[in-house]
Amino acid sequence: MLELFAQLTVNGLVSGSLFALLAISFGVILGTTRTFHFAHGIVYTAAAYGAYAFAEGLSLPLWLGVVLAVVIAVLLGVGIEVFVYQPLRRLYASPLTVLIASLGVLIIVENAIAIFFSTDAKIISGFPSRLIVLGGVAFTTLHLSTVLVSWALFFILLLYLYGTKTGKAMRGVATSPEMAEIVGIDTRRVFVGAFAIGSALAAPAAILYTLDKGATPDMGVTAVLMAAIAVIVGGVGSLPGAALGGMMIGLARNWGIWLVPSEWQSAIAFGILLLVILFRPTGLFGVKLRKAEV
Amino acid sequence: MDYFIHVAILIALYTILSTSYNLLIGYTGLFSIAHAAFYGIGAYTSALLTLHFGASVPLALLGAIVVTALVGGVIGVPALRVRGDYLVIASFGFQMIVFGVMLNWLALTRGEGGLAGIPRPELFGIKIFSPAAYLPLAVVVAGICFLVTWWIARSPFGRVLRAIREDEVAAQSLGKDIVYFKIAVFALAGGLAAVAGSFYAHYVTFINPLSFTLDESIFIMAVVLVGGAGNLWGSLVGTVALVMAPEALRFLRIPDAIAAPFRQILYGLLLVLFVRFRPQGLIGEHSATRGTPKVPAGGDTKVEEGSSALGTRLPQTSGNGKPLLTLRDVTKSFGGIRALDNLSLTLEEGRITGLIGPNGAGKTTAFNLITGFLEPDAGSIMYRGRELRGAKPHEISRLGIARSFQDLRLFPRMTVLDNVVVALPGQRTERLSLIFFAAPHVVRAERENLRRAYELLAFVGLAEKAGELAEDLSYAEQKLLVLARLLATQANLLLLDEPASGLDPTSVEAIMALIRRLPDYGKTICVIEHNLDVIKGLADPVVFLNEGRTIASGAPAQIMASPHLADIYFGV
Repeated sequence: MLELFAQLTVNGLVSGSLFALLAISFGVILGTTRTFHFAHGIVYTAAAYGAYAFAEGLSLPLWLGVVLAVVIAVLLGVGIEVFVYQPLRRLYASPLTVLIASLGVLIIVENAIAIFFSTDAKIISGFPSRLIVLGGVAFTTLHLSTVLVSWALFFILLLYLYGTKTGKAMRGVATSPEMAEIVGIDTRRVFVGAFAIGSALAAPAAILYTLDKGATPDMGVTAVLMAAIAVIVGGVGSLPGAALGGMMIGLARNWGIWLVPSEWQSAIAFGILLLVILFRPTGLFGVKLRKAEV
Repeated sequence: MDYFIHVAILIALYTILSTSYNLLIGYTGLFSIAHAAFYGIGAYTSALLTLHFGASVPLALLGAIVVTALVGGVIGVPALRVRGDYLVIASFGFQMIVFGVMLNWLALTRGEGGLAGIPRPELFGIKIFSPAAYLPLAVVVAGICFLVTWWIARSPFGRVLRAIREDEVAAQSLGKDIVYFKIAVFALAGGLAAVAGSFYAHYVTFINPLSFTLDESIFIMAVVLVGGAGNLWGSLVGTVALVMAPEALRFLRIPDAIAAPFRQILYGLLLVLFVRFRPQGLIGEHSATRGTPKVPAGGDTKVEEGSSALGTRLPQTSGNGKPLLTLRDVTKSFGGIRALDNLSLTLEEGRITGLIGPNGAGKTTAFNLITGFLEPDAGSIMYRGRELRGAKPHEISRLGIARSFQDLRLFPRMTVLDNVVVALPGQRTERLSLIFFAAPHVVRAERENLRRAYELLAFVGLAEKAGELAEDLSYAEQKLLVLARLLATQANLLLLDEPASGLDPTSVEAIMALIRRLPDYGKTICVIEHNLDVIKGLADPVVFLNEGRTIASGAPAQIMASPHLADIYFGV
């Protein structure tokens, strides 16, 4: 019994780390640009298929596949910002309109991938994964790497945001775009930067997931939903909150296996979301906003 | 031939789905992507009722409507707390969970295998088998649903939905109970989608979860956005176009394996291209309604003395000195900042009280507390012997207190006339139940309301512009419309937040002349204004606020003569 609990906790921490990485990749874009970037899900999917195409299709070494996948993710993410969102913002489109366009992009690319690669799961081999058993709890070196990579990237992101000039500009834009403009920050470039960073972070998340479970065209929809839920649960605008939200979802999904069959795992995350919306709409770490912006 | 009949039946089916979804996204601005879930719940409920309980098809249809409407009402609840982004995610989650239930609750739904052998309906003792026999039934059902939706959309209820879409806070300030409207519209859209679901189940006689996926929700969204959100005819056109388009693709001989993703790409492209190049859709919301609406029969656009729309004209012209609203020791802090610090203030009946003070003195905060948009930390707010603390904005509005906003908060994409009509109080016809069961009453009440709205527009001098969209008015005209909308609430206490700011001298004169007439109709007014000439010309007494408390009050000449106050005011 205790062993099962420990095993589920370890599984939860592993998948939670991955959700945390996804959540900060989504959160840095949402927090900085206020764009609900639904198509982030397809950037994630594209990175996974990019890595697959280079590492498996062209038989390049895995590390090179990873690098190229990051490049693909950044190009796609920045491309969506420049060619889809920026023109809409120039038209003063409502956030809802931008969201619809984002959903449209997601559908287009997802189905293009489905046509090109077909819908069966694509496996990337080449990661030397070994099984480790520690006190009755089993995990692989891949799982260990997932946790390490996710948290390393999280701290690097924080260092960037708090330690560098461009990072501080990004936080400035996140707090108040108008004020940032006044002190001479080019918000458009900062927006592009946020999309580049968020997209770059989505790639390792996608590849780590694919190494474990394989890639399918619809993987991005679930991923972006979980990321969005983690960000809302943690509080929009707070990256530590987003990371914690991701961890909570990972743990809850795995502990939930005790109570409900595994098919219902996704429902657990939505359950958490509903509770947060009903009882703490600003999220756990969100800034307390005034009621309805009077 | 059967093939064309099948396509026609599909068009009827999707007309129901798209028009009901339009009520949510187009009319109310609620972005839910769970319409296929409602559709599916309707289909499964209806199928299970006939299969397991031997219910007749009409009875099963009724059951499906009730169940789905209830579920819809429950889904409306998160929509009360949040808007926009969160609702999308919550509805997304709902869509996934419903799909999961259909797929995984094997005992009830038999999972991916689906439910087979769903009975066909019987009409006048004749079983309806062939598609040809089904088509007239489909047209009649879709026609009824369309009429229902159309009647709702153009009723006072529908007008409030659009007001909520345009500006929720303003709608609340006019006394609209947002909770009721959001839950009602979700229940309604759910119930209508259930009709389509039930119809589908008994038409194909076999259902499985794959008919009610996220892709289906996105298809319905594409239909509404391509056709034109907020316009039911647009949904009809969108349905015809998008149901036929993939059928046309069949003739391109695209291999079956990629036909489905190919269709999805088409829908995605349509979404992206339409929001970019034709955001209003093929038929925009206002494409047919431009121009001055006809003046209702018997309606006089001149305001008579003692006009009913403004309230009764009272004999006395100055205040009687009775306090109407009293704030006592009201305190409100935002974080560490004390916006109001033991503020006490009395508004006397029938007078125009001016509220002045430097920026950040707490003037607008006082309005927000009086109207219930903010809750005071301490103190009491008494209106006609009733404590207002803890009451909701729409409740306070119904007691007869109305406010305007610095940033106007009109309903920009509604007509000038609708901006005023929606503010008229006591429209029982906004209740969904009455719209159907008392149709003649609705029509009569509507005619009377239009007449009153015209009178008010004539009073502020906007009668000519009644048919234009509020966003197309000049700034000065918008300010006049704000006043007309405020008067339409029939409130006794009007709180005006900078009614003359940003206007040229002529318009300032015009709006001052209007405000000065209002006490004659029994209105009590409190006006925030930075333009001291306006205050001098309108208000008596004048209350001077600084750092959240009253530091002086009295006749305007007296206040403005004080060099000390002038120093504070001009920040010397």
